[in-house]
Amino acid sequence: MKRILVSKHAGSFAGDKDAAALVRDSLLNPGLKQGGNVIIDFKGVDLATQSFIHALLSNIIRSDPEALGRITFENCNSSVQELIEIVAEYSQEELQPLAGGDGEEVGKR
Amino acid sequence: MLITIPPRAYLNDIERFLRLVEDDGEARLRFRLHDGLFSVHPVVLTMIAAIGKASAAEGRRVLLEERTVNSSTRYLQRMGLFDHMGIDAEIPVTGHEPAGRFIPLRRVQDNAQLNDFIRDFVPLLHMAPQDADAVKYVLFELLRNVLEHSGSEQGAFVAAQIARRDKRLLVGVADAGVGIRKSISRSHRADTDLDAISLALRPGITGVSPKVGGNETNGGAGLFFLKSMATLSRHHMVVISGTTMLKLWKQRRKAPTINADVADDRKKWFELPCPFPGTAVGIDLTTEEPVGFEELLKRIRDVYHIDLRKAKKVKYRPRFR
Repeated sequence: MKRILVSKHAGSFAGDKDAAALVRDSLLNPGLKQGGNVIIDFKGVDLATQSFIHALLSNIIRSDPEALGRITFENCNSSVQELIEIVAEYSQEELQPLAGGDGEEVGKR
Repeated sequence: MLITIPPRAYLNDIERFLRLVEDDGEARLRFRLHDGLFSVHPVVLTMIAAIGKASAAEGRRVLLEERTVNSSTRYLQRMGLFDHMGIDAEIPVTGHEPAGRFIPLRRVQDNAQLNDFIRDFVPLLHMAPQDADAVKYVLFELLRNVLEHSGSEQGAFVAAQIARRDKRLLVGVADAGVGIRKSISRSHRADTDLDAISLALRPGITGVSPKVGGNETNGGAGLFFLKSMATLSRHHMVVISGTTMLKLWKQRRKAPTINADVADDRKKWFELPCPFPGTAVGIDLTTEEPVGFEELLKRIRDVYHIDLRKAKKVKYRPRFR
C-alpha cells in the first residue's frame, strides 16, 4: 500500500496549496489510478489549512467519491481530522452555481 | 490624493480615518500627520503603506507634510511606515525588539515571504503553540488570499500590535490590487462593492469559479473562516474595498452565532468619500482567552452547508486510524 508522508512535502504547517497540488498530482492520484489503496500520513503535521486539504482532496472526491474509501488518513490531530471531514463533506455535495458570472472557470494566477 | 492621520482610528471608529482620505485632484500623494499625538489601528498603517507603495511604483511623488517628532510619529517610524512609502522622515528612534508588542509593517509578495512572516509572527503572540493555531491559520489564509486574488504587483502589507490594556491582538492586511468586486466578478455577479464583499464572505464562493464550493484549488472559505473567528472572539472585523466598508459588530448574545450570510450579522456599511484602490481587512482577536482552533472548526462545520443547495447526500466518510 502506498504511503504518503505529508510533512515531507509540506512541513509541520501544511498551508502551501502548491505543495498539496504536487502531492495530489505526483503521488495520490497515480496511487489511486492504479486501483490501489493509499495511506496519507499526517505524522509531524501540527496544523493544516482548509486550502491545503481542499487542494489535496477535493477534486479527487468530486470526480470519484468512492476513491475516499481507498484512502486511509493516519496520525491526524483533531484539527486536521476536522478539516478533512469538512472538505470530504462538501466535496460530495452537488452544488448549484449562483446567478450571474460567465459560467467559465477562471485559471489560477 | 491627500491622506491625513486622525487623532484616533481603531476598528470601532475607523470612519475617522476613511473620511480623511481625499482625492485632491493632484497626481502626487500627500501624507499629512496629525498635529499632536495620535493612535491608529495597524490596518490604517497597512492601507497607507499600500497606497504609498503603489503611488511610488507609478512614479508619483510621495510627500510628508506637518512632520513632527513625538511618540506617535516615532511609532510610525518603528513600524516602518515611512520606509515603505519611500519617505525619509528623519525621526530618530531607539531600536526595540518588536517581539511581544508589535509586528512592524511587512510586505509579503510570495509564498516564501508568507512563510517567513508566519514563522516570525508566532512569538508575538506569547501563546502556547496550540492556542496560537487559529490566529496563525487565519493570517496565513488571509495573506494567501491577497497573493492569489489581489493582482497587486506590490503584494500585501501586514502589521500587528498587541493592545496593552486588554491584550487584544490588532491585525491589519491591505493591498492596492484589483479589489474584491473585480476579483469576485470574474465568476459571480456583483453590481456593487457591497455585493462583492457580501459574496466574498460567504462560504464556498470564490472568484475563480462560478460553482459554489470552488474548484480544485480554491474552496472559497478564507474570509469566511476569518469572519467566524472574529465572531467567536467577540471582536470587530472590518473589510474595505473600493467604495465600501463593512464593519462587523460584536455579537451581544451569550453564545455568538456564526452566520453563512453576512446579511444575518450585526454590521454597518459605510460609503468611502474616496475609494480605496484595493482591499483591506482589519481584525481584533483576543489573546488572553483564545478561541480554540478545534472548537472553531466544529462550529464552522455546523454552518458551512446551511447556505448551500444540496443535490445529494454525503455517502462516503474518510477513514482515520
